[in-house]
Amino acid sequence: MRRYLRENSLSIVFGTMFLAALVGQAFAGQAEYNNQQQTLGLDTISWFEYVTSADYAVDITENWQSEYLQFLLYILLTIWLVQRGSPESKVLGSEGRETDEAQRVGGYATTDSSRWAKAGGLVTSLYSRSLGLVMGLIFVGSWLAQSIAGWATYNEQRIGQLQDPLSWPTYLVSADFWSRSLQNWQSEFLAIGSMVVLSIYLRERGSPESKPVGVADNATGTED
Amino acid sequence: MIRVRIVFSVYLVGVIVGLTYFIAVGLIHR
Repeated sequence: MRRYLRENSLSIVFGTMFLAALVGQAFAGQAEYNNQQQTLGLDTISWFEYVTSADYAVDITENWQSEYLQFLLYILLTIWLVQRGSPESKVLGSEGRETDEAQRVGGYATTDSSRWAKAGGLVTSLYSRSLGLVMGLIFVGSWLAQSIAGWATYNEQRIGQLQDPLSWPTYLVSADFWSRSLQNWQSEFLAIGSMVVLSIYLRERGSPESKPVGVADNATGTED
Repeated sequence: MIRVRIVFSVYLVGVIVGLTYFIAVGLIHR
C-alpha cells in the first residue's frame, strides 16, 4: 500500500487537491450566490440546490474547458513549434511527427512497446494521436457543458429581469459566453507562454519541468 | 502496470462522469 501511494503520489495528490478545491468552491460559491440573492431581496438556496444549479455547473466547466484547451494546444503545438533554450521544447530540427524509427512504431516497435504501437495501420495511427484526441474530446465536452449551463444561467437572469430567454445558438454568439471563455483562455495562454520562456534562464532543481541547474541557457529540450 | 491503470481509469472515468453530470444539470435548468 505504501509503495502504491509513493509510486502514484503525483496523481493522488493532484486528485485530492482537485476534490478539496471542488468542494471548497461549492461552499464559497453557495455563499456568494446567497449574498447576491439577499442583496436583491430574493430567496437563498441550500448547498445541495447550489451544487445541482446551472450557476455551479457553468463556473466549474468554464475553467475545465480552458485547462483542457491549454494542454491540448500545448501537446499539439509543441509537435511543430520550438523555442530555443526551453526544456519544454523539442530539440531544434526535430519538428514534426518524426520517423517511425524515432517513434518506435510498426516494425520499429520494441518488445515492451504497447501492442497498439506494434499493430501498424489505422490502430497505430489512432494510438499515435490518442492523447490529443482524448484531451480534445474533453475540451469539446466541457466547452459544450459550459455553453449549456451558461445558457441556462443567463436565461434565468433574463427571465428575472422580465426579458425573453435566448435560444442556445444565440447564446453561443453572446458576449456572456465569449467573455467567460476568453477570460479563462487568456490566463492559460499566458501561463503556458511563461513556462516556455521563463524556463530558458530560470531553474528548479530536481523538477522534470526544468533543465538541470547547470545545463546551458541555450540548450533546448533534453539536449545537454 | 495493472495498478497504475487504476489511477488512469479513475481520472478518465471521473472526468467523463463529471462532464455528463454538468451537461445534465445545464439541460435540466435550461
